[in-house]
Amino acid sequence: METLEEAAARVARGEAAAFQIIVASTADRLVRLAARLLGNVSDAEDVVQEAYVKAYRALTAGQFDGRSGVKTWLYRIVSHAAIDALRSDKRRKAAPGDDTAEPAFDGVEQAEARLAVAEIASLLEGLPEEQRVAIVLKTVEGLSTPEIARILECSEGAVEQRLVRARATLRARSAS
Amino acid sequence: MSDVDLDQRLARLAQASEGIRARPGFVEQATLAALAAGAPGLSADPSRPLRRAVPLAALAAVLSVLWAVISEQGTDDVFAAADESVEIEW
Repeated sequence: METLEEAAARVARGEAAAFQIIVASTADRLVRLAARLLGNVSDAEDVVQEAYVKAYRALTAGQFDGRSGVKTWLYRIVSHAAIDALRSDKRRKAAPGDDTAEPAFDGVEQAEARLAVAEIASLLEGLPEEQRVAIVLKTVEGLSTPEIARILECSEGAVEQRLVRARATLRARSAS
Repeated sequence: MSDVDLDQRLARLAQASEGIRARPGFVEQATLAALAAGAPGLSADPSRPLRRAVPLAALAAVLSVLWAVISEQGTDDVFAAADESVEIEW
């Protein structure tokens, strides 16, 4: 079976059809990540689609240097897109009457999963975006600190600092 | 909430949210969107190529006017010379 790196190399050589292999292999995982970061699946799909557009452009422009794996690279693009979406969502929420529409019922498992991502968002609401992403990547996605540092393009120390601050904020919030 | 409580709660929510999947048709839609946005000659904003052409069109218009003025002067000179030559011949 073709690896993501092989598919990415084919896309870079101009074989556009190989991009579907990348999307098909990563869509569920990336939508889940984005939903956990944003709190709903609809926004998550928008962010992931936008991330695929950026990824395709980067691959065809020869901007993917292969220093990290394709999966890590896509995690990075989605995480940054989610940070941008969280920032714009703050601005959007400041304007009244623009809530996300409720999706159609699509099964108990999906409904429970939607509730879970909404609860994650509610629990982490108010944290600075970088701290929120760091704690989701660490505690919900189960990634290591070096992996998170590669995804967020910062030092491991910066990741640890964001985690410590996020935990301190959440502790203080629950104590009050 | 202690760090342990927080980690346990997030671990439970991680487990509960494992069922999140992209909706059916998302892969095809996302692939098409990426290929369309990356294809040469296609743009998310169709007016962008036209906007890019505005300075070139303006430059072409200025050059056309200059060429028209210079040609007209040249034609006048030719006519004037021709008139003179006609007068000399007469």
